[in-house]
Amino acid sequence: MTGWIVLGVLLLLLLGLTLYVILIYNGFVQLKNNISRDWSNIDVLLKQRYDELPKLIKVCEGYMQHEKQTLEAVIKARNMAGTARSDQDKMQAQNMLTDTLKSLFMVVERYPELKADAGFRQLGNRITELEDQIADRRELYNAAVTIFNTRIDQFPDVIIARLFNFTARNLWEIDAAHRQDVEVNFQQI
Amino acid sequence: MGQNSLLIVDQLPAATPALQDLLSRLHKEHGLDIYNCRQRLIGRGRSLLHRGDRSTLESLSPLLRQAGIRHWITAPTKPSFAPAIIRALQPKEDDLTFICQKKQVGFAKGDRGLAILADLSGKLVERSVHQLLSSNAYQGRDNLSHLSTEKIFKTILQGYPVLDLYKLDTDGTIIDAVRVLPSKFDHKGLGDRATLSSRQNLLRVLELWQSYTGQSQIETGFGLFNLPGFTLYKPPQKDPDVLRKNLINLTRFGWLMADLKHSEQPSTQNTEQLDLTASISAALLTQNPALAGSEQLAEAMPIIKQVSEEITATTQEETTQQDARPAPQSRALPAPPPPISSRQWRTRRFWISALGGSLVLASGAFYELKVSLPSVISHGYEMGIIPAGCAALMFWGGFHFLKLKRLVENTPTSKIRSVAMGMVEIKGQAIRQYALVSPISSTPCTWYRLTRFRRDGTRGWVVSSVVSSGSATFLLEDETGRVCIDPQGATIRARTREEGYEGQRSLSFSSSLTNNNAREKWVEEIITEGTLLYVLGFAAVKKEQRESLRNRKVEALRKLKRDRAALDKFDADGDGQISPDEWEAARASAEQEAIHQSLQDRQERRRQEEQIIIGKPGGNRPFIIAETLSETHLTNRFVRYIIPLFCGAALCTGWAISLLIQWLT
Repeated sequence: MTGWIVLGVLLLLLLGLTLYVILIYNGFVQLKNNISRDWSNIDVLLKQRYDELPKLIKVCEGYMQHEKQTLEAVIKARNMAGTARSDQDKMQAQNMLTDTLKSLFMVVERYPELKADAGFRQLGNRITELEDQIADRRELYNAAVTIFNTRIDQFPDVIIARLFNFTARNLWEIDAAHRQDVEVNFQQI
Repeated sequence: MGQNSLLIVDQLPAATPALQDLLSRLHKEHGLDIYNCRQRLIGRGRSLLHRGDRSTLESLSPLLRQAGIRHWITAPTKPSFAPAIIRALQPKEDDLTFICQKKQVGFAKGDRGLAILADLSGKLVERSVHQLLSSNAYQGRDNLSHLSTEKIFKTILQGYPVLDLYKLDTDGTIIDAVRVLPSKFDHKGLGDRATLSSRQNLLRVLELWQSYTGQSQIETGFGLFNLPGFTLYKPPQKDPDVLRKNLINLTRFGWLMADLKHSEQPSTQNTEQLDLTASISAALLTQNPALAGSEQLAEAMPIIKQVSEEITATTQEETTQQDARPAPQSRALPAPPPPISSRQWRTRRFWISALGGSLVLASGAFYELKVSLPSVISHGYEMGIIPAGCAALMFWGGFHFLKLKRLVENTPTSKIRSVAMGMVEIKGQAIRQYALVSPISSTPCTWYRLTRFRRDGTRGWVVSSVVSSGSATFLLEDETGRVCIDPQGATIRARTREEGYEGQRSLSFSSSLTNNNAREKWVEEIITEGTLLYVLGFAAVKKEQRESLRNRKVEALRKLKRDRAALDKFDADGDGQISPDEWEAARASAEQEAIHQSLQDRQERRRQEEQIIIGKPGGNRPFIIAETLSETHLTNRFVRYIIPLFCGAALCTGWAISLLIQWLT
């Protein structure tokens, strides 16, 4: 009699445990897919930015005859972003493109006629809007990765993660150069 | 002693960008609650922002000054005497003497004074609240309109007006005070100013007093200002106890206003005085335009003449411009769609019917098999099947909530500006898209659900109907943007919940919430505007409701037919008639115009709230709208369901096993 009860309880525990393992496993799958989706959602915006850039460069070329170097840097960064294959390369290329765009917008300050151009304003606003959205989605991607990485290190999830080979994902971090303090030389301004 | 200092602020009529910054700084740097502060900083009049020691309050001062908010730090003086009620008054050339029962109080020309005009009937407060609610309901929270000074004076005079006049020394300290109650004094002292109305006479006393006191200030905010401890109680049928309490509070209010005047910066004082004098003058003139013509009054109060001229000029200007100027753009919210019976209720009824039907079918089957239903139930229990079924249901429930908890925890929060299509989690403030008002409490809200119950013999309260705001969408706003939310089909957790019984149609007249004899009761749940919400749902592009190309073409042709001059352009032969060929050309042109318009519409970039809507996802995925402090708070609620469900499931399983073993042996 007691043996039956013990067996029944053990079976129940086993059932509960199996269901819990399934729940954790499915949770990992969902988190993994969330990360992939968030990455793809960034890709959508990056593609939009990639498509908008030639128009912007074309408008700028008309006014910025002496800033060929800056424009070439943007074009080069755009090409790199277009050819990057691995996630790591893509992140680096996109960071570089963001940097060159920032430089371009800084240089534009010296060209009041360009700033006043309606086409440039429209394209500039569109790209700034895309930049903001990319930054938001990058935050979201990093949040999803952080949740995943935390989960796979937590107990008891760590057991399932090791068992099914779920490994930590990379965050999209900014370049080390951006962490340095900005030095402003007022004499040059 | 130091703990008793008050930081009182002049409220802002509406939220400004500077206010948002101030609120976040008050929270970050001083740990003040953002929502409390916001509530205290927006409104009409003055409000107590914070209480504490003087040094703490002084540390808040620079932030308020930076945001352009006028404020005072003061330790309220305990009133050492109450104003004496006047019986008569004697105006002389150099002073105005008020004769009271035991003493006389004189105001010499140029004395500093403070007047408190208050309504003790509560009408002013009611009207002010009504004004705020109605402007909030129909114009939205960003366009709140408050009672004008003129209306305040008019309402006070229509209620139970009391006028307290304080005499201040050069430092602003109270040295004497009198109280003027309508029809409690001999109005002969007013001379030519006296009227047949006792309330108007009160106003005349104020005018006369103002003509003597050079630096006077009039306060009408008793009951309207958000100052705890200086509140106005609504007197039921002029209850003498409540009236006494109100008079005590009015005295304390007067002393506090004197303290504020005392602690005021001289730079702002003059402006304030001029503003208030102008306001009272405007109010007096609005009530009695004939005063503007009074030479004597104009001499005594030059501002009256100035204000009178301004009013006349403005009125004339308004009259001349009325026809010329375009109608002001209405910023009122549109009417909400009609409320609907909740789908949840329909679903529940459906399942109850389905269960009932299944039982009937099963009974029929058992009858055919010569087995009775009670014996099946009895066998089911003996074999442990029924407890096992209960255990399975509880397990399922427990895992459902566990899955939901993990889903909420595993979904990162998106910024509204960059929300992507698909399942998203967002947080923000609810903003109304429609002039939605809850059915019982008449509160402007973004969503409501009214559940009616009826008492059903031994079963207690049974749901009789559920009505919700249904398809009335609302907006969710965070620091980056706004998005539209369609609450249909969502699991909504609202924290504002009111209960009442049959016949109780408004919360204003609620009495007891435990009515044992009532046969019906209602529960109203609402999400008010400005509430912080957590939303987990499915983001999708709104279905476009653009005009079809055909309709556009028909409309263009109709327009063309009405416009003879435009039609004549297609009259190629100039015979004044449109031939079939010419009409064909006109049709082609209209078609071109329609296509052009349609393409232009498509190219126009629209705002996010017009493009994206968050609603119920397909399949079994959840759609949650919760009024919650944090995500953890929400998941903790799930834990409160998970633990008892799993414990219950374990107990039921044990019970089922023991029954099964008994049955087997």
